[in-house]
Amino acid sequence: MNEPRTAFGRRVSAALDWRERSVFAALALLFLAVSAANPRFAALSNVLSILGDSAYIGIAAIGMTLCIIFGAFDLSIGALLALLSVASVTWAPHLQPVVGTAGFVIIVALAGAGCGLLNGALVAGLRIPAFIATLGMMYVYRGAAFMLSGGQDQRLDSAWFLSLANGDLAGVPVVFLVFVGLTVLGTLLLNRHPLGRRIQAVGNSPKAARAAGISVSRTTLAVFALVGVFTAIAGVLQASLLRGAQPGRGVEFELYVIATVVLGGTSLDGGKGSVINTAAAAVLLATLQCSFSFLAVNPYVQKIIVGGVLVAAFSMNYLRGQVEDWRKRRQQQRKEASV
Amino acid sequence: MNEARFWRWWDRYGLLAILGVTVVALAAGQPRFRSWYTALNLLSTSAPVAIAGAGMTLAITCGVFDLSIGALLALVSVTIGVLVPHLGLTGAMVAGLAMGGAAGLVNGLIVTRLKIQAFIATLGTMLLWRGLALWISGGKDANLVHVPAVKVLAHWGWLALLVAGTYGLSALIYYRLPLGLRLRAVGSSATSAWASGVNVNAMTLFVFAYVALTASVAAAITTSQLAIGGCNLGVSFELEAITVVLLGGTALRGGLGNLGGTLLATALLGVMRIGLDLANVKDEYQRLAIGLLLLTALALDGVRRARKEAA
Repeated sequence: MNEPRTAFGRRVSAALDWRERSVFAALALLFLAVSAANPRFAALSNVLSILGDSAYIGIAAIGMTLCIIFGAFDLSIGALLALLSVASVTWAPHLQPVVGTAGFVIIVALAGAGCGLLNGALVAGLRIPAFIATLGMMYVYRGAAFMLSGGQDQRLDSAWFLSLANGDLAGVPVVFLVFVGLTVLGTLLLNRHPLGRRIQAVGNSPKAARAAGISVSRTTLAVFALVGVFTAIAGVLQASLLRGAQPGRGVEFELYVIATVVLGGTSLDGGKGSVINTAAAAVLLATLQCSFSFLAVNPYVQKIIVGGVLVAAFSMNYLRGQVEDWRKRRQQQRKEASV
Repeated sequence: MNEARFWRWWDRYGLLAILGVTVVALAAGQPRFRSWYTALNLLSTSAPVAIAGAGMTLAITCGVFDLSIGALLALVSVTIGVLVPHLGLTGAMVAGLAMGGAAGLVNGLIVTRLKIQAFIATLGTMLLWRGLALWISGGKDANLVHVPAVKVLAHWGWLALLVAGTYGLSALIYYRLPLGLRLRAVGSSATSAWASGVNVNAMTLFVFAYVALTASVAAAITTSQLAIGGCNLGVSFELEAITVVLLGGTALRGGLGNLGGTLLATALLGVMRIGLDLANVKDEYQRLAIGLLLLTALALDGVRRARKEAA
């Protein structure tokens, strides 16, 4: 293959490199296969509804992608999602008349950033490993969600609130547009903004990053605040979709989000990953979920299939390596035979 | 006592001291706490987490997480529930344990053969086990109330025996057998362990089977206590087990486990729960308390490390 000459060409060819974009290939394959089995699957309305469904986990997964590239986990986001959606449903009727709908969403996002900063402060300030610190905060946020709601499900039927997640623009669900916007934002942040470069540097090697003059603790704070913001947006949209909030919602949500991020090819070792691939993985999982109902798969078997698909996908890297090794060995043998 | 000596003392007896203070405070403040019922209650609520915590201690010491044990608990419980009419209670429980052990081996094989990190591999099998549990049971809990002697494992004698047995066996493995030394070596540095002739894959397989077996014992107990084979049991059980292990002082990065700490941490959380229950503190505040306790313990460690680095 010819090497592209211009910087732009190199960038485009890197962005289209199939080895980095296998999740898109899987998505296309799945879509074509299910559409062949049931043409109604490919109907525009169905595609749009799949895209809308993918947004909730997808938005949260953007934040988690940054966090995992940074080399950390945030296990508290399921509980944080519950707390923020309960809080937003409880306070929305008081806040919205004063600050407006946009102001309300901004306040919720800021609250998410605040909670994220708290996580970050535990990790950066007290040097607690992120895994344990966010495990502890998981209990704290979950308890706070139950306290705030008094253990009751909260309902909110105001038209403006429901329109957050249920509206559409020229037929495209607003949540998906938000998801796309945030994906672009996350990608730009990761690849074009100094903060993104710092996140990747720390994820590659905290020591080297520190030696290069990067403040690891400030980056930690920023990363966890971002995770909080994305979780807050996912939480408020989900509350709007479901017309309310439950303090017990989002148990093990963090684990599904991490699975989505890893399915998108982001490495748990840190330093490497792609927000766009994460978004594609979220769409892939939503497509899989939707195809189950089109193919009338037993709902209990669905979980088994999703688990199997995840394990298979996670082992792809290794299998690909094996295949390449085998190919090399065969070439070697052929060469020796021809000599 | 100078500072270094205090910390050394704290490392060894800190958790015990906190547990002691909590028990004394509760006994002084809550007349109803001073009864045998409290001990029985503690045993029956904490035994499953304690037992799975022992397995998880060895797993984390060996450098792997098993996130699938909560779903596995449901799978084993459902297996027992479905098989009781065919095999009888004892037979079904043995079959459940076998199922659990097999599931652990599958986890281990996925990690060692397909080279997936344990954290995400078990994230995938978490869905697998939960799906299998739902599929086998058809989404309905198997009601075992009419099975004679179903509550046998809910008796305090059995619970005490199982907890003591699990910790005895785990301690034997960890402290006395060469196996334990190898586990710690793999957890400290898999590469060095491999270089010095330890079969890292065999260790990984063993530790996954072991943690799955302890989770299966916990499942048998829960099934017996509730008299159901429940497909929705054990949600976030894995996180609870990891919480007590880490609170007990086992190092997150592997290589250094603390079995006694896990047991004490489980007891501490159990006692706190009972105390807060007696004081009519609602469940939501209890969760908050657990989180704050964990964070305080960790923050203390962090402050200490920071001071050590400054010195």
